[in-house]
Amino acid sequence: MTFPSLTPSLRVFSPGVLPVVERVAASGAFVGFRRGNRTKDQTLSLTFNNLPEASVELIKDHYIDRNGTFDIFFLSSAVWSGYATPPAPLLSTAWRYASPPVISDGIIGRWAVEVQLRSHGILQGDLASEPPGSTDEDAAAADYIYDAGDSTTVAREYLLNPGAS
Amino acid sequence: MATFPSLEPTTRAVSLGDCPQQSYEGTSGDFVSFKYGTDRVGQVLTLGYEYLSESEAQQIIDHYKGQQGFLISFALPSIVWSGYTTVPIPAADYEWRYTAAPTVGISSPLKYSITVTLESVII
Repeated sequence: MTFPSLTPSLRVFSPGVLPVVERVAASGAFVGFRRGNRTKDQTLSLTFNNLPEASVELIKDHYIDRNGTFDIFFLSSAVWSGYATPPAPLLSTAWRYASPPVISDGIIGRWAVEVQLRSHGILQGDLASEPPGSTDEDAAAADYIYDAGDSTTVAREYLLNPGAS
Repeated sequence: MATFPSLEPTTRAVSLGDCPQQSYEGTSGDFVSFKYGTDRVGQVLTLGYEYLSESEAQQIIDHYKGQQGFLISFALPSIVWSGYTTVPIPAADYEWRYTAAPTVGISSPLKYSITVTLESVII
């Protein structure tokens, strides 16, 4: 379930880090060991001001549908409004609520909602399936291609696109 | 169970709580979560009252004492959700209890301000 298509009034994005374990010797020499290739701990803080109740309900219902901070989801392009290229790609970055949204009263009949999100590493391309050693040309001739997420493979007659489910 | 005094708050903030769960994160950043229930817990409602008369302020203080502080849960009157057409946290599913003692300040001479912090209780 995609996050409601609402444009935030305030947006703060932190691009996260790669999972790395660092070791520093007594001499000050440093070495780092990378534990994965997917960025983690990207955070996104969204503030929506002067929302009508119907929009507050959209966020609240989305949060409940995601079982609070339990389930992942994708963002709508409206959340990145203003960017030509969102800093965290829409399809290959899943998000979870980092904390419960906070709804506070604004002027009469308008509310402010604060939302804190945290990115979730997902396996893009779990179902990508090509014969071992095949070239793109060979793949282009295949009838069945298992395509995932934002793969750039050309459209085929049969396309299974599981996204990041 | 004594319902909370029927007073309309000046400020109001509600945090929607979370499903009870435990998460474990690996060094790669991957993590797995186990959900232990579907009812959200830890919903917090903060109510701010300004310019209350002494008798109104006393209603809240008496209510707090009557609920034995944090111990006894209670229902909220609809006026607390004034402005909403759909109450964000249904009264049929949740009651409330104090999580902190109300703080009483002075708004102006003979007028008082009170901040009340409540946490939801599943019923």
